[in-house]
Amino acid sequence: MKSIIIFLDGLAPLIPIFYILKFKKKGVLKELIFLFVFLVLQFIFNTIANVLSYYPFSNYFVYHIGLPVSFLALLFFLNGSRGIIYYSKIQFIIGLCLFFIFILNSLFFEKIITFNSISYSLCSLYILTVCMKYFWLKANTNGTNEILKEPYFWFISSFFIYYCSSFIAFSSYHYFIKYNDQSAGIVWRFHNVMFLVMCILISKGVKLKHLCQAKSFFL
Amino acid sequence: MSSEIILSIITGGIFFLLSAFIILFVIIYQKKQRLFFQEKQHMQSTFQNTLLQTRLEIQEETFKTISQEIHDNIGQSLSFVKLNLNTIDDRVPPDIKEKLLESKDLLSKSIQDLRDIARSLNPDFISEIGLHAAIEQQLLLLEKTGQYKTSFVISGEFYKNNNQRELVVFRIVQELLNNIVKHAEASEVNILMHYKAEQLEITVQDNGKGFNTSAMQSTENNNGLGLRNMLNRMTLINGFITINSKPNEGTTAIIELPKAQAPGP
Repeated sequence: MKSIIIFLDGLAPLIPIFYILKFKKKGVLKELIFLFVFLVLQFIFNTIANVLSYYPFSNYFVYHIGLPVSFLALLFFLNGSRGIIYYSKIQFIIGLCLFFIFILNSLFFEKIITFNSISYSLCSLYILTVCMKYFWLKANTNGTNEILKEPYFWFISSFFIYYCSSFIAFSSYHYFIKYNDQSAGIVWRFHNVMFLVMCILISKGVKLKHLCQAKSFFL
Repeated sequence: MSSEIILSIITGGIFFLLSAFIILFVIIYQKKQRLFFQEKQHMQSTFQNTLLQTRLEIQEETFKTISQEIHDNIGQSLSFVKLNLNTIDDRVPPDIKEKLLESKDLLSKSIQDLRDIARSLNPDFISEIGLHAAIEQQLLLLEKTGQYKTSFVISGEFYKNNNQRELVVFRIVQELLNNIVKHAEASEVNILMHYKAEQLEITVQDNGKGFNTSAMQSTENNNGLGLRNMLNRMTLINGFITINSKPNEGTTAIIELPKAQAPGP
């Protein structure tokens, strides 16, 4: 069970990837191309990190490369659906600045011999602000659509649950490693479960996206 | 071990809180959505009522103008013609004298008919004489054509309705009678006005050829348009109209106007 949970963050992205490819012909892949790239990158980097963890050398460099690249994909995904999820140009620019900060952090501060905890924490905070803005604006506008049938609600909820719950894992990683290795394991496993939850919610959104595409096609 | 349990509880709690946040958000959003739809529906219904009311007001204004035009212009002109005919010397040849008399009669009849039409169009006159007198006059007009046998019965304890509501009901009765003349091929028309404790019920009945009421409910053609218009007008004054008919069995229309004085037009 433990080893399954350890590999969850590598395997989980396969669920939404499967759905995006399943509805490829319906135009879903074209619409969600950056989300697809994000998921593929997550799958690749997490799997590599998991495999490397069984060898006697550090896998931290994978996280140093994986975070900025997948974050960039996520930024473009959010920017592409700006009108739907209330994502502004300024937020996008701030996101791009963060991308460079992540690189600088990896080069000069938390170097590749250690986990880039600051970058991951900043990334979580950034995504959280995007999600909170979405929820706030949605709650303050007249809802004409059924929220549970909106794909972007599921996407944003998935990011919100994962990044919010993982913030503790990211920010306190050094502390747990330093004082209690076992606790770090628990927190990381919890992070993996949350990652699975995120992927399941994204899959739900992809399925709805497919339905929306079909609906607009018939209309 | 205990720190592991605490950590598990904390992480589980975080997940629970986040899920609760999203569920709460969905509930708030759906509540807002429901309110928004209710408000939208209310606005739509108010708009429809205002539109219908305006239409009725415009219609009444038009009728009033036509009625005044008939009375003041055509009626006056015909009266002058009649006056001129009366001033023609009596010492004309007998065949011309006969034609003159015939013309005078026809003219008198036309003037009277025009007056009746002008009255039935004038909303002030209808308010003045009251609903049942106005309906009775319509039946008299039908009777005068010689093609219809009519009856008019009033039962129950009389009470006065709001003028505007009575006007709407009168126009509907007028439309029903007009339909009988145009389509029913009837020989008998009966109207029963029953003042019940809670509502006024007017039954307009004919012995004409009748029709299939299911065709009337169709939205594909204009068959049901008249009924829908009548229904809309009745809804505006909190009333209702039912039409029962079968081929070769005549038609019965029942107008129900509740006594409760809800704010009418």
